[in-house]
Amino acid sequence: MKTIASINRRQKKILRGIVLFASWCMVLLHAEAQQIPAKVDSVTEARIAALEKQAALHKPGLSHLMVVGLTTFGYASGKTTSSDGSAPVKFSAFGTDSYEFSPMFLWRQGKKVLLEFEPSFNKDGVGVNWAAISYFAKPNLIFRGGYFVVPFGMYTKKLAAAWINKVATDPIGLPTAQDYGFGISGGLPLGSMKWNYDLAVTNGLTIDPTINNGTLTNVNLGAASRNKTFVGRLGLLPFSNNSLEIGVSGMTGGVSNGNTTYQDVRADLYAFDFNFVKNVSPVQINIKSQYNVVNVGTATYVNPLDPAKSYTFNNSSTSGYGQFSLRPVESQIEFIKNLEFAFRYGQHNTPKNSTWGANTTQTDFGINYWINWRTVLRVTYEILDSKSTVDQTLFTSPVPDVKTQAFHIQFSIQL
Amino acid sequence: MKHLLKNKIGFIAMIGFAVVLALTVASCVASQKVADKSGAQLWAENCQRCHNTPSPSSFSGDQWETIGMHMQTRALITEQERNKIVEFLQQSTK
Repeated sequence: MKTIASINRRQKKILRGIVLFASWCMVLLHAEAQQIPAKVDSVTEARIAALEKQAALHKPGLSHLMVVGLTTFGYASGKTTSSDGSAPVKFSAFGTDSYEFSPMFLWRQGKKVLLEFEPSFNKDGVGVNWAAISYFAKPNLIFRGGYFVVPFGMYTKKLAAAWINKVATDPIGLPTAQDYGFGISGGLPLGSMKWNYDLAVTNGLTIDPTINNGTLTNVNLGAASRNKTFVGRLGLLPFSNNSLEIGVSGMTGGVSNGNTTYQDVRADLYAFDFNFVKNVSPVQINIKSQYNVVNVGTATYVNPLDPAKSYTFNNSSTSGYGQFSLRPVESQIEFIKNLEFAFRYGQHNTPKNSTWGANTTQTDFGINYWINWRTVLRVTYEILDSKSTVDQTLFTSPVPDVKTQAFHIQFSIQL
Repeated sequence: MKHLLKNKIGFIAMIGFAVVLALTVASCVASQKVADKSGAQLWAENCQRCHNTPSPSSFSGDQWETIGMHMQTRALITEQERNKIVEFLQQSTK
């Protein structure tokens, strides 16, 4: 028994030694396996190298150029009647009022610089909608220079594109469009509200001496502008859900552009805009509005019938529109869900006793069918009713009232 | 003289406005409720102010980055909103 017990003790020692040795070997092997990568065959190595090369080719760069834009095509048919008793003039044409192809080039340099260039081909030929460079200086401060949409009101800058608009035509009497200049803009939080600013100095407006009737035109780059125009818009979104935006705009500047006849004449413009969009189950309600006032200082103009004589008038114009549209966004029927019903009423009153005085109303009824979020097919029926307020003594024959009724079919897509 | 005076008043008014604007900008902060909004919520709320909400699959990640900058100049959304909306559009697959 004693011998057996001593053998067992020896065996136990040997066994313990074997276990310890085996564990040590395993630790060493594991450590070696961690240090030396597993060998792969040459085919896999080649495949990995090819994939690495492909990935390197697709790494994101700091510079990025892309093309978006829009195209619109339409058909208009209607008639114009005149208060002078002449026969109504009927018209129908493709593209007359609504053809546009405008590719927009967006060129980003990192996250600080963006170039935007949009040439446009439409019924007037080839033009440029805007060509501007923006520098994102601070989180909510953007410097911008070039040829851009003047920050006056909301429609021209944000809502004019045909794939965004709710009816086939623009509201009447919008006083500004694009101009050359320099500006700053940005959007900022204000507690639960939000506000934004958009200010610019532009080449501005002038009374064109060749037309010489008191209407304002852009100076553009055609002439060295002598009077710069200050223009800006402040917007406030009072609700935290961003459903409402109200804006106020102002624009002021001399209009002489070096022409001594209008040396002390200034133009002061104001605008108020309103934009409300909210989903109220089961529909989306969309209300947009803008009101514009244009005041141009007193000046005398050459009588078109007798250049030796002159005439004057109170050069003030007002214009505005209100638009309401409704879309049943929660309908279970896809066709109904893609429909949108729109109504717009606008008014434009140009100066009485001028050669272009008129009180015009614009009424539109429209149905849009949204093929997808950026493609629309629409029909619009529009009535333009214009009552002349010209100084009839400035014309050889009376200027009549004119009424135009037209039916528009339009297709527009954002590219 | 009258013209110079007008210019001077205009210049002083502009400086004053710039100072007020700078002070206002410096003090602008979002409430917690607004700061906590997700990119998806901001996408739904802001895009439809002007047009239909875009489908995330319409453009690639790089393109959304560029379009985000373009939309900031147009709609004047805040930079924080732009970043969240772009991130949402880049990460959404539908």
